Order: sequence, then C-alpha cells, then structure tokens
Amino acid sequence: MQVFPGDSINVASTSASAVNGIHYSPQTGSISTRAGVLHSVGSRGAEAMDVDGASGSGSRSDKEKFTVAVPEQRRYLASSGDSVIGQIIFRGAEGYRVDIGTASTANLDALAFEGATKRNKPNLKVGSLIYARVSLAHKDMETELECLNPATGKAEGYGELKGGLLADNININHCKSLLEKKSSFMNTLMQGFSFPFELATGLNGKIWISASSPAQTIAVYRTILRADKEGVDALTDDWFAEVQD
Amino acid sequence: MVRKLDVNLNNKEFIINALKENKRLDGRSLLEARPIEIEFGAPLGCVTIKLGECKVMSSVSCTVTAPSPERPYEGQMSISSELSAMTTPFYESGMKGNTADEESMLNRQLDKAIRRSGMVDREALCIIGGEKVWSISITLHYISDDGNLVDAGVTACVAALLHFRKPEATVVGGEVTYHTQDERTPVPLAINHTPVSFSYAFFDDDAHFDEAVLDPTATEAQLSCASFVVTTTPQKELLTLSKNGGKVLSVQRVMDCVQHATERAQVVSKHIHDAVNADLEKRKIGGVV
Repeated sequence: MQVFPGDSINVASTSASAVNGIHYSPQTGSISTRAGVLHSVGSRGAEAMDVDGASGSGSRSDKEKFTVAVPEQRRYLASSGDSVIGQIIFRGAEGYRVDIGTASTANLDALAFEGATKRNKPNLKVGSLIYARVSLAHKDMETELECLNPATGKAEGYGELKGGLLADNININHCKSLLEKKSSFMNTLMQGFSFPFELATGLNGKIWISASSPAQTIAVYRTILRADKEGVDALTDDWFAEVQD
Repeated sequence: MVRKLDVNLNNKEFIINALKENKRLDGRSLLEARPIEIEFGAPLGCVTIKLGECKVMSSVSCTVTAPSPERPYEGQMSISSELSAMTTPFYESGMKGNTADEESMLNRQLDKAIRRSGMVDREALCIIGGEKVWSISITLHYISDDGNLVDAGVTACVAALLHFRKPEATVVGGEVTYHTQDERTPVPLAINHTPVSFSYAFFDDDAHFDEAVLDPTATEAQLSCASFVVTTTPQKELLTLSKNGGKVLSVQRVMDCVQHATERAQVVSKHIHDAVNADLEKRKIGGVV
C-alpha cells in the first residue's frame, strides 16, 4: 500500500519507530512519516511480505511488524541488530569512532571483538573498514557497534575487512534484498560469474567485494553499481559477458 | 562545514593496484576518457555536459556595452562560475576554505583556455568602434561533481559558444538597429578555434605508480597528488599547460601527455561540433563548420 507522510495507517503502535517510518500517538493513532510503500516485516523479522491493498487489515495482529519502505532510500538510520560496514575515523584509548553513513558517528569499543582483553586488543588503523553489528541505536545516545555475538563471544564473520573494494551509497533496499534467504539478486550474481567472490553486505548501503584478482573484483563492483542504477533486470547475459571481458 | 571523508584504506590500495594493471573501477583503461554527453536547452547557447556522473550547465548571453578605452575595437567576454554546495555537499559558496582554492584554479583555467586563448574573435564583436561593442558572458553551473570539472567546464563553454547566436545589428549613419529573431536570422560568433582540455592525474611516489591517468573520477582525484591539464586545438596548437601538486614530472612524461592530448583533440572536437550542428539542424539554423 502506498502511503504519504501524515497518512493514517492501520497498524499497531508496536511498529512505531523512526526506523520504520511510523509515528504513533494516542490522539492520532499510527501515522506514516515517509512517502513509500507499507510492508509487513513479519512478527520476528521474517522475510519481507508485501501487504498490498486493505484486504485482511482487520485481522492484523499486534505482533506483526510493519515498516514504510522508501523506494530510493540511501540515507541510513541506525537500528539495533543491523549488520553494517563502517570506516574507522578516529582511534582512542577505549575504542574507535566509526563512520557508518548516519548523521553522527558510531562508537566501537576496543573490547567488542572476539577474544579481546585489556592487554590483547585489536589494532585497527584510521581508514580501515570493519563489518559490525549495531548493538545500540537510540535517538538520544551515541550508536554503539560490536564485532562479536555477545551471546557466544564469537566473531561470527564480524571484524576487520581486509583487502577488497567497497561499493558505497547503494540503495538500502538492494542491500536488504541481497541478505534475504532466497535472494534473486544474489542468485543472478552467482549465476552470472564463473569465478568465486566474497561479499559483505552492510544494511547502511555499503557492500564490500573481494575476489582473487582486481579484474574480477571490478567486474562484481560494476555489476552491483549497474543493478543499483538500472535495476536487477539490467543484469542480462550480455552484460555479464561484457563485464567479464 | 561538511568535511569530505578520506578514501578508506582498502579502496585506496585496491584502486592503485588496479591502475598498475591498467584497470579502473568504471571499466576504463588509464588513457580512456568518459564519453561526453551533450544536451541542449531551449535557448541558443544553453548546453549541459555530462562526463559520467559529472554534470555542468553552461549558458551564454550578450549585451551591448561601451568598449574599454585601451581597446576600442574589441568586444568583451566574461566567464563566471561558482562552486556551491549543490555540486557536492563538501563545497561551500562564498570563497571559503578549500572551495576557494579549487574555484580560483578552475576559473583561471577556464579563463586561460577560453577567453585568453582567443577562441572568439573579439574584433568581430565590435558594433561602432569606441562606442558600442557586444559583451558576451558565459555562466557555468556545476550541477554535480565526479572529478575533472576542468574538462567538463571547458567542453561546456566551447559547446555553448558554438551553439550561441547573437542578434544581428546594422549600422546606418551612426544609428544602430538590433534585429529580432523574426526579422533576421541571428548570427554565430566568429570562432577562431575549438579548445579541448585534457586532465591527467598522477599518484604519489609512495604508491610506486608513475603513469598518467586521464579524466580522473572524484575518488581518483582524491587519491592523486598532482594533476596536469593540457588544452589544445584540433590543429595541434597548444593553448595552456598547467600542473598542480607536488610530484616531479619528467620531460618525457609531459611530452607523452601533450602528444596524447593533441591526437585526441580532433576526435573530441569533432564530437562537440557534430552534436552542436545536429541540434542547430533540428532548429533549422545553419551550423558552423
């Protein structure tokens, strides 16, 4: 369902947040704060499901979460649990300040890495890239990042990204679609290239690419930028032949 | 003020390593320029140039003024361009900080390449010697910046001046009549030559990479330590040479760049002329050769 800022929408107040683009007050009920498409994101962040039309609007349960997705969203709003790619812009005694594309910088504690202790801390240079999880996102507090799963203490893929190439300022919806379980975008990429490559997708519109040679990395980079600009449909066989030439 | 983030270390290393293999992020080779797209606005002399993601709009207008006492038979010409936050958020308007340096460098380069190179025959702009001359002003708007604003700016100026037509003026016994477009076909400016500009970027010695990179993107320009701009004409006349930044360039390197620029100039100039003539043809106005 398409909505405009100020439109009343029939969703429970549990979905209301700046990240979802939904504002709630008892007087007005739930109101959209964006121009976009109202999506259900399921009750436990399951696969995104379109709820086009008003059908079944009466039976929406309070547990079902909604979000207003903006088709061309490139500006990232931090939300806890998101995997993001950041660039270290300052290193202090306690930790790092990281640019993740939000209006203000995020904080990464020096101890928020796998196996890090007071004596054995990671040594990241200013300008290096990290893959991290947003552990705290609150409008009145500095965003916090971590490079480990706090439950297990393991890195689980987070940490410094070494080598490779970063594609920046990608449509956030494209990044989300790459992370879906049965992503058609990801499938197209995997079928299009005859060589192995590695991607780290940040929900802040940044994608890190690594392959064994610069030519291969550039091919993947250009393909992602093309999909971002022209849509996934533009990734034809001809394109893959041209880009791998 | 918005500060531009440094290029991250991964991309810096990658881009320089790829350049060593003659590869660039947009699929070009080192001495390959981005294709120039030319669009024309509704009035004559209004042109938009696109160089990849780089976009510059240029418009030409004319007025009648009194000539300067030192040069009573020459018309006047001025180029105004300003970098603002519209180009990228990192620019500030009003000549502050780094923007001032970049802006004055750009303006000087345009002035040298277009105005002082004598692209337009200034004496042909004279209406009555010592009394009335045409004053041509070019206004440039940088709409978006993806590196190499110099080449884009020069191309935009050239295309706009070729496209522009001024009203015809007739003098009968000291009395000047300016004819509207309906009365008489507006006349083109007297063009002496077509300047074409080529920017080459050079990288730091620490990078162990010594080759010239033509038409750098914003990221490449951010990583480079020196730039070398050659303005030339299809007739292989050198108009300007300008080098900025600290790197020492060998004589051979300079000669190679000039050689490359003079060879490419014919192709680029023909592209600009063809685009302008095709548009004038559409408007049923004869083009210039």
